[in-house]
Amino acid sequence: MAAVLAQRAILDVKNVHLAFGGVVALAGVDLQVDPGEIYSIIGPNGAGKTTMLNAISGVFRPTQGSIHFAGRDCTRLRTQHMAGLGIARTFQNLALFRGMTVEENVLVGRHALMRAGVFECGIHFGRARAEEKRHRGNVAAILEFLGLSHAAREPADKLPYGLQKRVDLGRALAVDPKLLLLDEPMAGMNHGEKAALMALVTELNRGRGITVILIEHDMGVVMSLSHRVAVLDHGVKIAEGTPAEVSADERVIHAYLGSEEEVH
Amino acid sequence: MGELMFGIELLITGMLIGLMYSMVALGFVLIYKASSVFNFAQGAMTLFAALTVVGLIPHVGFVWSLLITAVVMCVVAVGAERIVFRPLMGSSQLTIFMGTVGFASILEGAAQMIWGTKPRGLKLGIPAEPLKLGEVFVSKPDLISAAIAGLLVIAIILFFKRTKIGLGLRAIADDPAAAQVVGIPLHRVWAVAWALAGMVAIASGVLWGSRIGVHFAMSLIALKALPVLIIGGIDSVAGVIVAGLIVGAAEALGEGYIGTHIGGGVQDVIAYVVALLFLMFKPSGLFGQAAIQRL
Repeated sequence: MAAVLAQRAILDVKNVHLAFGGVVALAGVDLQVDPGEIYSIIGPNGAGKTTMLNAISGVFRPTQGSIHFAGRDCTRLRTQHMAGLGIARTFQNLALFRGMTVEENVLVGRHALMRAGVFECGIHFGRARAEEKRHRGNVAAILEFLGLSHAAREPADKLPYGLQKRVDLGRALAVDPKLLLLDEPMAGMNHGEKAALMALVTELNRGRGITVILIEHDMGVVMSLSHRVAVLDHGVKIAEGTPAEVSADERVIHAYLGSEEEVH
Repeated sequence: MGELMFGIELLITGMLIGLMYSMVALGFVLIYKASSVFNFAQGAMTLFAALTVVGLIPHVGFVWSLLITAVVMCVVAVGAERIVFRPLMGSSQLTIFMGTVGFASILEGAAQMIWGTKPRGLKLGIPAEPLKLGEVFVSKPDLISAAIAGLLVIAIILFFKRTKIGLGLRAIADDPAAAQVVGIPLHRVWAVAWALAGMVAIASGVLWGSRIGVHFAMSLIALKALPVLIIGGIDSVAGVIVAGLIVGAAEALGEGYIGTHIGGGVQDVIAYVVALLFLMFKPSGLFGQAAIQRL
């Protein structure tokens, strides 16, 4: 039975509840993300979108429900094990390692894939050296893909904002992800930067077959990138479907426009 | 000419001792980089390590004594991380700092129970007669101690720059959440940082112990590291080395030139005067990151 599930959804979120003290953030959310799709989660502020990403990446454990990734139950796994499974994410508010260069930031992303232990690395011969060469090559390829090669040796926190967002993405790609969670990747970007980043996400998805879950406020971006869209409101999924279906949905329109009236 | 040689001699001696300050300060930097905590217990760890080495020498000899102490310090450091600091993670910095103060008391108490309070000497068997370089005399024990301290500092820099765990440590220090997302095991990396701080404590304990004897005032060695940390920046290995050299040189020159006119004790004051100037004009230190919260 599990095998049948595994063939379809790469990520299977079932009836997930999450509460902080008395505040309910997620109240029974189901999501099935198919391999190779770009799946967006939208909703008004406080709808539970980032909480959902945090539940998937193991930062918070659901109080109820289950999360399966590639057929494997990872409801109770810790964050640090997610990278090894092939789940990577970027952060809404930049979370770069400030004391490091761009190259080092991305290299840290390889951590889960590095085998050699402390002493071997220290001695720096044989297997460890070959391994480091491989990882550095991988990092160089990622930097080139993101157009960051020229800045490889610069301190990450000295780059302009748009490029820092790319370093964040580069670190996630270094994990060799099967599933990439993007938390508002376009926030604070100008029109040109958004277009460039959209092209990169499309290439990652079509060219490399990486499944993407996207949280984004810019509806233009969501509608043109996504294969399917889920709408959260107050911790509940109120709609799901193609961009066209969702944008015509009564409840969605109400959730976005109606909330203004409720405020008074 | 003799005046100049006197100055050079002071400068060299000062900088050699300065490297040993750097080494002590390095123990603080290690823990700070890993968990943003000022580890008040580093001095007590140094004392505990020195007492263990000295206490074991009559039974097993110098080399075995060092090896056994290394194991003991690993157990103590990793145990402290597990039992004292892991449960405190996420508390305020002041709470964790108080945890390190408590840990220091426990260590000192344990050291007293196991080894007693009698001061002990520690002979490393380095010939005491000075080395003559041209017109300048340099103390051999100082030279060798400084060389060992220097090697240790280099080893730790390479560790941070070139190893997987070292890179993980820096990542965790910068952003624990992002570090965990890329698969860095927080607790294992912390344990390694504490164990390394334990090794630094052994080196500091043995080298300082051979200089000033092994006794309980040794845990005050942290006071020597404090100005070095302020000047260099508590999160910067490079800064701590440069600061150690500055403090050592300032102390020796101050003692040699000013101390002869106004009496002794200048040595103990001058490092703090320099540190105070830094606090007023460059509070993040020479190389430290500007955003550090000071306790």
